[in-house]
Amino acid sequence: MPSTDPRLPEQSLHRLLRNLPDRPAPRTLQHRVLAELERRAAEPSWRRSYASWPAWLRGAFVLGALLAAAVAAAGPARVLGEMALRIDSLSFARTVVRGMEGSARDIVAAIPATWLYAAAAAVAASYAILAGLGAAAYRAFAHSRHHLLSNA
Amino acid sequence: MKDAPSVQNQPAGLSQEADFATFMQNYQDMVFTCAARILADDAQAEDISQEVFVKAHAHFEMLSVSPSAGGWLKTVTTRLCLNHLQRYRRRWRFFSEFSRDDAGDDEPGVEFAAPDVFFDGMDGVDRREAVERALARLPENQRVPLVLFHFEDLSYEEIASRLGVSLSKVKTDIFRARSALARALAGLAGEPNPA
Repeated sequence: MPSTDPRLPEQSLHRLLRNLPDRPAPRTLQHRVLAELERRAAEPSWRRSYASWPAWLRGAFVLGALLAAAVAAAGPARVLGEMALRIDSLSFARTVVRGMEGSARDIVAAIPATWLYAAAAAVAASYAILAGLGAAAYRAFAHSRHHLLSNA
Repeated sequence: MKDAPSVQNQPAGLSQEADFATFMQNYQDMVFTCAARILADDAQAEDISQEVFVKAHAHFEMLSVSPSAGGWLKTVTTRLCLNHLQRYRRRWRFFSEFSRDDAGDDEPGVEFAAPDVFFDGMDGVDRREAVERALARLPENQRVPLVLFHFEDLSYEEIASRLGVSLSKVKTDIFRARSALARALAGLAGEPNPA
């Protein structure tokens, strides 16, 4: 018989839910975990996550990343130019990099601005159309199927 | 919280792998159940359970002697499940969440009778399965806060913080979840017993 105590719904439901026993885990779970642990243990160190790398390797990686960032910030051609003053063999690399930088700049400058805007608009429109079609397809098939299953 | 099983009492001489296998046997049902109730998807729950135990293996030295290993496992399971749902939700929000957030505000309240009334004539297994099924059919925005509140003992404030939603939304969603669950269970009471 329904109760008039406003706290009873919450209390009854809480009791009902808390009395539910645990569901048995799939029999495959333990095998999967042990297999995954074995797979990870067999992985070479360079394929493991950064957190599991040896300390010296993590330090070297950070130094390398900082160096690469510094070179990118200063400009590769400028850095190579500075180095070429000290090391003769790098003058050829400096020339190549400068040539590539100049070519890229010339190509971009030669393209009319209208074309660039039109290309950007085409990319944006394609993206919007693709997302719209995806949304429509999802709502037409997956979402309605989920609702049917939920209401079954 | 279920913290009773411990590997401390295992016979000496077992290798760490055997200890870990025993540890898993003790806790796998709890971890899987916790994940399955939050996610309402057994395959995803198994994936999350696997991830939890792989993490547990990395901390096994500490967990094997900790009296709160169960709590640690539940916390990690809950966190991984919520991360999983949030990743999934972000990915699909554009596709699936066109409906208004306040839809259903005018749902009528429901009178909630004592659980025994719902399950009159059902045995324990049918009863458990019926509740689990009703729980799994709740929409995610109702099921997750309900599970966190009733099974994981989180407060409304903690749930709001974990889910990144307002306190009032948590309260509303839990209220609606209880109503929906009560309706589902009341519907079961009206159905003939399948057994």
